[in-house]
Amino acid sequence: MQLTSRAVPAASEPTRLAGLVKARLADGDDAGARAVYGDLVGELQQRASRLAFSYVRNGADADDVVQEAFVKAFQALGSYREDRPFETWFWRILTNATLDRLKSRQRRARWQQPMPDGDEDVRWMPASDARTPEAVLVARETVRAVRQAIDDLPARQRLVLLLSHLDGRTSREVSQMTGISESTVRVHLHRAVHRLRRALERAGF
Amino acid sequence: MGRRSGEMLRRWTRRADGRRGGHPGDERLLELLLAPTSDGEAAARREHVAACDACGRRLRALEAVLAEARASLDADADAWFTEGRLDRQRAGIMRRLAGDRSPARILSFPGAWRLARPGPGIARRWVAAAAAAGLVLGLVAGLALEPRRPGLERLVAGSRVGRPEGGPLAPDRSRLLPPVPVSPSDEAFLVELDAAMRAPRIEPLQVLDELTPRMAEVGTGGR
Repeated sequence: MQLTSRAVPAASEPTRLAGLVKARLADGDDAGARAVYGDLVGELQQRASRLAFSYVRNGADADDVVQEAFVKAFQALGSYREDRPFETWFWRILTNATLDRLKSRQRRARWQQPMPDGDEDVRWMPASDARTPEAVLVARETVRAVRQAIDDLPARQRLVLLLSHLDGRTSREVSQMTGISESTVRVHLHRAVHRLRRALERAGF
Repeated sequence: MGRRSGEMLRRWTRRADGRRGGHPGDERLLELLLAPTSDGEAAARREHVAACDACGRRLRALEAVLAEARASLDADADAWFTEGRLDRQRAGIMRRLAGDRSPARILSFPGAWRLARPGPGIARRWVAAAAAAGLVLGLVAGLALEPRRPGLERLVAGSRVGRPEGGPLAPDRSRLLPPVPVSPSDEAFLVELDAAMRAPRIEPLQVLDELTPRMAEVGTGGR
């Protein structure tokens, strides 16, 4: 049983690649820098896409956000300090981009009629087929309730929870990624946990 | 442990987020999973969970639910971001980075109307002179071909008739433009509009119009 935070994936490879990109840019080798940056994108792309998708809940928006974040990161690479994990630095750019996208979507939503939510938005993949149909159904409803509770969280609480839960980040890392103070991150997390607990209770878990 | 007693234990352990009889509630267990701390209280809680069978089971159940929720979130994202989409995404990023190094480009609108620069052998003043000459020739030819009021007389008449004695410059547009039927009032205009709407060729469009929701209807109906 694991009671501490999940192990954070090693950031050494993205950090090493980022250092290489900076060095090539300093040498004036733009094409070489872009080629190495392509490898760096490949390292982080899927995780970034998952996080963005979980947060903005729309594939096209998530795609835009991820592209924008990678482009911005390349443009701002001069301000990146190589003695710190690249991922933390990049995740901050990504989370800012997702927050910006959500704000933009809320602005647009004020002028548009929202589409009705469908059940197909929440898809669930059973983790194991070894359970009884009843157990599978109950588990499915429980997971659905948890996902709905996550979707219903206020923006910052959701962001903090997703970074902690999906990416296994500690409160300190979430603070560095989002620019929110560590104590505020913990407050957001506690509130999110409270809502999750209530959702589980309502689901009869 | 029977099913009933198990259910009672579950209710008891999850009832409050505080401690009851030394057992942490669900909220405290979720905090252990999602917001671990190294303070004394959390350490004591961890010790309790490690020693208490019921709390350990509850924690594992919560952990499983969270893991499945995480797996389903990832599965949703992966279903959208297929290998092909990720490849296209990466290609898009690299394309934008390659374009970023080139100087900013200003697109004229519309592009086809962009004036071509005269070649090096043609002086600009000759281009301007040719354009002016063409304009004058066109004006003279147009006036000469006007059947009712030949020559420059029309322009002169227009400016003279439209200005009252000592009054401000107000050319009589009816002398310059072809006569246009003007409705006497807005009411007449609306009558004409109604008549046009009742015309047979509009009927198919009216059906479509009725099918189209109005903003006000949508706004009230959707809430």
